[in-house]
Amino acid sequence: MAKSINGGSWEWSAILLRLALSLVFGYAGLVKMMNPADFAMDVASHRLFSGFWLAMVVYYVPALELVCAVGLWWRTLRLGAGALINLLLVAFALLLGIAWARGLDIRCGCFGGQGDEQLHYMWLLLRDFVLLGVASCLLRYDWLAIGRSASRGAR
Amino acid sequence: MPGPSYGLCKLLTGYMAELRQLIRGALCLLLVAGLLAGFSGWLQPWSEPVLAGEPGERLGVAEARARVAAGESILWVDARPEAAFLRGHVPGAVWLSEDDWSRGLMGLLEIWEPDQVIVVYCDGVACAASGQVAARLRDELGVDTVLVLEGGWEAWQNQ
Repeated sequence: MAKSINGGSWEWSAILLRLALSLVFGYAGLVKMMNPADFAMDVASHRLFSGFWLAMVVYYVPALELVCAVGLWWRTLRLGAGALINLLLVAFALLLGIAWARGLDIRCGCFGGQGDEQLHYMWLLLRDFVLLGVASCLLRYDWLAIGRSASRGAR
Repeated sequence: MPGPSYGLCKLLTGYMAELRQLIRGALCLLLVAGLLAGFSGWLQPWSEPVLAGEPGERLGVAEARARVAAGESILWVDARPEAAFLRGHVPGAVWLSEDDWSRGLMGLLEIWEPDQVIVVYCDGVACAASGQVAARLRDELGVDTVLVLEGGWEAWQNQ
């Protein structure tokens, strides 16, 4: 497998996946950071967080999305960024699932209310799982690449 | 014979470089995100959002429609800006906004019957006007039967 990621097509695929993920997360983080009041309303409508924890989510999650989007392009940070993005996507899927199970008729807030309509849970979960697939492929690629360069260094 | 913990240790040792880089990178990003979040909070200070009604004070669109179909009399109150109300509203709704409270309240009192349930709505899930108007109506009319429509006008149109 380590050998198979040497190919140019793999590298180009990884660059495209990295670009797609960093654009999605960078945009989502930036939009939410620029308008925390809108995002706060969206998070609060899930009725899971309030007070201090709501403020933490409202300020911390967009900042984390933004730094992960940048971190994906930084050689020493990309594994960490990939792992955090995977965790974030799993958390988002859980939140959507909980809201769906509770029958909440609310807005996603995924992009800070910009272009988000009422939740269509199926579509949003599908989007989340597609992104999770992309993120996990990229994490696997980076993991193998780091391992390969580490074993080269050891030789 | 080596146990399962030996196998796990061997596996982890084999991936030590990757694991070390992953943990170091993640911690570094979490720290930077914390600093950025602090800066963002300093630029745009926190204010707790006001949700449209507490759990017992909300009414879903499906339930509202079912109640109307069952013959229950509901007085709809549109808490959006007047221009939005004029463009379209729930049939029979009266306009009441904090922009011109006394004029709107006069219109409401003309048709309201004390045993009628009042349901207030605004644009969607992210607006606070319905919750504020409902709280003020409860206070001024002295009744508890003032509910907030979940999802507001947007949800009403979608269902």
